[in-house]
Amino acid sequence: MLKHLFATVMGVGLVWSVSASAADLNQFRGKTITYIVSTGPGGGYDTYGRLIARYLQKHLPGSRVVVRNVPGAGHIVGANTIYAAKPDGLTIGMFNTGLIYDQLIKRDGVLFDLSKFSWIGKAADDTRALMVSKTSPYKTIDDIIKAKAPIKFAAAGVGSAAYNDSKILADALHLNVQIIPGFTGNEGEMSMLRNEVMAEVGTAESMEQFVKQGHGFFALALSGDAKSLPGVPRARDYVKDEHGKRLLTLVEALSEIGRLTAGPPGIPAPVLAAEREALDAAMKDPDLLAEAKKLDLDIDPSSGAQVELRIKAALNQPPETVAALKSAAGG
Amino acid sequence: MHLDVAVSTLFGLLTTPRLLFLMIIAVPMGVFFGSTPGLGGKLGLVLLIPFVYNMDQLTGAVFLCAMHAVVHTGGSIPSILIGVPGDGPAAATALDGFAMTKKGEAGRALGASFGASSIGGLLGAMFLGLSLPILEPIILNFSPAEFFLLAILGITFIATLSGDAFIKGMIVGLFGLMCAFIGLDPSTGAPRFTFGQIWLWDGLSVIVAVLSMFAVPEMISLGVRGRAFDVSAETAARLEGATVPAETAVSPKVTYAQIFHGVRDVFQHKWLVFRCSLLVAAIGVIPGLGGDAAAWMAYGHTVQSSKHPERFGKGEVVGVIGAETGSCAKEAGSLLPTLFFGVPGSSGMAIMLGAFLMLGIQPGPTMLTEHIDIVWSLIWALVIANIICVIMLIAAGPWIGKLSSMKASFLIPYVLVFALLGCYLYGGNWQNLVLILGMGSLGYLFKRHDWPRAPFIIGVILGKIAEDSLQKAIGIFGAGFFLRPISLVLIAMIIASVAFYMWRQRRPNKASMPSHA
Amino acid sequence: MLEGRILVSGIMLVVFTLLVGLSFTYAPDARFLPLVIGIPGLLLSAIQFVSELRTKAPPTVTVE
Repeated sequence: MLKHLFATVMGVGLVWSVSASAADLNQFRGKTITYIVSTGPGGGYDTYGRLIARYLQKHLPGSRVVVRNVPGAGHIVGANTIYAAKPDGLTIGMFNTGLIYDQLIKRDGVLFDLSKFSWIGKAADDTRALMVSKTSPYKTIDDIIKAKAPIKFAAAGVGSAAYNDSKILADALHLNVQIIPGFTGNEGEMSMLRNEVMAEVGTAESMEQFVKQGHGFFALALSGDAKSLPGVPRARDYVKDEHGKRLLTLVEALSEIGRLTAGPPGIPAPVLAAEREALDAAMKDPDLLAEAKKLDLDIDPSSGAQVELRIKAALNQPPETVAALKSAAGG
Repeated sequence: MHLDVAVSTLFGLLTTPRLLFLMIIAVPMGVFFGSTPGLGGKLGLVLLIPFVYNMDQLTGAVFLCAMHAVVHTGGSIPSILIGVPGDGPAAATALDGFAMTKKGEAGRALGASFGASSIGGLLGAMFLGLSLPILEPIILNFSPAEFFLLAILGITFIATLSGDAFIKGMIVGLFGLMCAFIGLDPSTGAPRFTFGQIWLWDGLSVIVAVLSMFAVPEMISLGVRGRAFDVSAETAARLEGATVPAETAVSPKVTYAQIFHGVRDVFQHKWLVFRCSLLVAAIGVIPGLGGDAAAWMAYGHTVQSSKHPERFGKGEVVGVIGAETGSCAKEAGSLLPTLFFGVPGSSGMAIMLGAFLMLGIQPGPTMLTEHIDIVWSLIWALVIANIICVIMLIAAGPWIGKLSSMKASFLIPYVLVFALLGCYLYGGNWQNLVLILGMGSLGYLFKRHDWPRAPFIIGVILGKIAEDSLQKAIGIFGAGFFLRPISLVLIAMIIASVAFYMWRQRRPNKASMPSHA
Repeated sequence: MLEGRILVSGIMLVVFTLLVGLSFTYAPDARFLPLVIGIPGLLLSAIQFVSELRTKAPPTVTVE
């Protein structure tokens, strides 16, 4: 008799919890969520952010999701803002995965701890690659490794994720390069067209156009599996020493989690669960996928839980790696 | 030269009611955003983008382009009427435009501004269309070395714009340059002049500079003197001795007659307009330099090439013409690198680029080969929008003028609140507002004691470009970077410009100029 | 009474002194351009300040 009672209670409990989690999505009815984008309007993060915001709103019935741009200090200001917001789930947002570097080297101005954010999910992969100009004398990665004269690389501003990636690659493969910083957006590619610089390290997605137009080619993929950049040699195969391998692991960890959405630490579990569920649904929504295709945006989602694991793993670096990173990012 | 495409796309635009309709509503929107200081065209573009998502390529692009084309024209309205620039380039217009309003010539200033900006926009677009075939090699040869030298050339205009108050102007200009260095140093990434504030890492934004130097001082002087138009202590001394008190010396009533007078002025100076449009469209074509810098260069050139440089800043209609031509012609130029290289030619174009990508327009050489029709449609959109704009604005002229004559005194606080709000919305931080108020007080002191303020803006804009380019130029070419051919030409231009200015200062009629101090 | 015009030039002098001083605390690469601009600015500010100190009351301007 007790057994039956127990089973019934369990059964009811199970049914109740399942229906409760589905009902969670309604808790945002009549509420406004502010989605913070850590860059100014226009540009990749803003585009992704606005797309996600619209579909989050669709999957959180009765809610309003409003995008707010909080640019500054290479996403640091935006991340700080999200971190310091009230943890009621009504303020969430997006920032560059490269902030992992900034936290590891304890950069000034970083007021957040990535391991503590309430992770909601990610939208894409950030496969990093080395792109070389077609007009350069270097035709393969081996040419670059063996080069006697320093090769000029274009890179984004000192301290940015792309700059750090460039430095890390040069360090891990012991390349003879001269990195010229300050090239934002497509400026690096323009410079390659003028034959001022020969190569650039960045996300494959941002450099794809240039390669498609026939001006450059991907010489090396720093991360991702064989599917992401078919036919392109993988950095893993060229890095020989421990030091290089550790740095590369760090880059790989960052590359898997791109276009992150997170909220401040301490968002109550049911609220976070609802937001995670809504984001997952949004990322699978056929309308979103169609729009993303139209905008040429890569969509490769992961759940908040998975992102949390990856972030924590990425932050868990031995002191040698942090030291190597510090010297690489030193500028 | 694609004459057939040019004609067919124009025809297409004019005969598609939907496109015409969208262009017609885009214009007042553009003017509205442009004319509200602090809001600016960029915010307008961003706000419109969601509406454009569902349009097809051509419609969306034409709509945005049309709106964007007239933003700067809108920016000139508050610059002229209340001395508060709508955006960066409009600050140059405010210099002479507002002075003209104080002299009772607001209508003429408006007419000149509308006329100049539409013709400038038109010429810029035509220049763009005509030069399509030959521009690619030119753009490709402009390296950071040339950017640096162009920035230096622009900086020499600081001297020209200082007029008589050379030392004061130079101090303000150099101060502007120092402010441009606020932020992370491009070569080492180390923060400079940031006092531990990370919101300063990205430097002083141009809109902060413009509002501090031109908007806040007006408001402070309003509070201090209780009247809309402030005059410096020295000039007040002069006027008090005269029979007409300063307050009633202005009658900002705007009549059609005045407006048309202004438009006629533009035609009377057609060569200047032509030269400025060409100069600025060419500069706008070079990605990275264009934008605010180009408009100031046009103004600088205007002052330099005039027979009476001492008249500028005091209500010389030619100043308005030069500045306005500059700020509008550059947009056409900056469309080029945006479309053909995916490199935005100006900050507004950066957002347009995002919009183009969203609409599925892929920038690159294919635009020249497969999508030349879109390119021409956009050029025509700029042209048509400018024409619609000038018609609308001239027609609405007297009512716009009423805006200022009514209550400039209470308009300014509202405008300022809007401006500060716009700044906050765009940048997302309140610290900038504090900075604006602080620097604005300094701007007021400058105004009060006849220190030129325009050089500050030039310094801020060009300083960033100069340092960034210098660092890259040295990295790429080594210290001998200025020995390249185009660089040598630019150096020659710089020397010529400075020499011309110095020769100017020695001219005999300088001695006979009244000392307005 | 401290006249406004002396105040302004004084402020600019102080500002430039501060900025140039700060520039010396930065790394060689980072301090280069700030010094190239700052030192002339400092000199000019000093010249202007001294010039204002030596000028008497505001000049009586010729009324046309």
